[in-house]
Amino acid sequence: PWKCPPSKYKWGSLDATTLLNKFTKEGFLQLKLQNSPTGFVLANDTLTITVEGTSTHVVCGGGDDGATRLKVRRILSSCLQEL
Amino acid sequence: LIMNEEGLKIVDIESASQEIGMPRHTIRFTEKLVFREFGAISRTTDKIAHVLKNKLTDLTVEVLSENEISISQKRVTVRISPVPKSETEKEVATTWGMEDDELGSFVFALLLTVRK
Repeated sequence: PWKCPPSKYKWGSLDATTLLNKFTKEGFLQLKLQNSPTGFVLANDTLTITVEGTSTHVVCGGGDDGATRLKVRRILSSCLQEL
Repeated sequence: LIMNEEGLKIVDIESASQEIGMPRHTIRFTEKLVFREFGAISRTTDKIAHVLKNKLTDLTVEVLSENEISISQKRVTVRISPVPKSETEKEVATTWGMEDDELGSFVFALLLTVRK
């Protein structure tokens, strides 16, 4: 299945405050927002989301077999438009 | 497929998103795992590469350096690094893009089974 090109692409940008509110609402209570010269970072002990313009890097290290990442993917996807 | 005053044309996704003013948003994921592994980094790298080569027979698995493995021309990369102050553990970080989510999740799931 991974030989096929993706059928959908994300576009748009992410707003720091909107994203923080959304994550807090979804139960990520310890996330801290930090602005950087090129964007912003949302982080807690086991999760770091770095947003720079139209590229985002999600780093998970909570040892939860991927559950956090799936939740983060769903939240980020809901904040972007699809093409 | 883009339609404008000049007619219809087929372009790649990057050019299309630029032309119509919809900047594509790329998302990358990194999942970190801690392996209980003694010895040199390269030993863990070789062990993981061996498993990946056996399981992903239709894809190219390359050991790029003593601590980095590439799957399918870097669509997924696995990096192994020492855990500070620990002789018995190694950190294994798997990185992939949203468009390769199926492959990336599969590799990560494989590494979970290697760790156990």
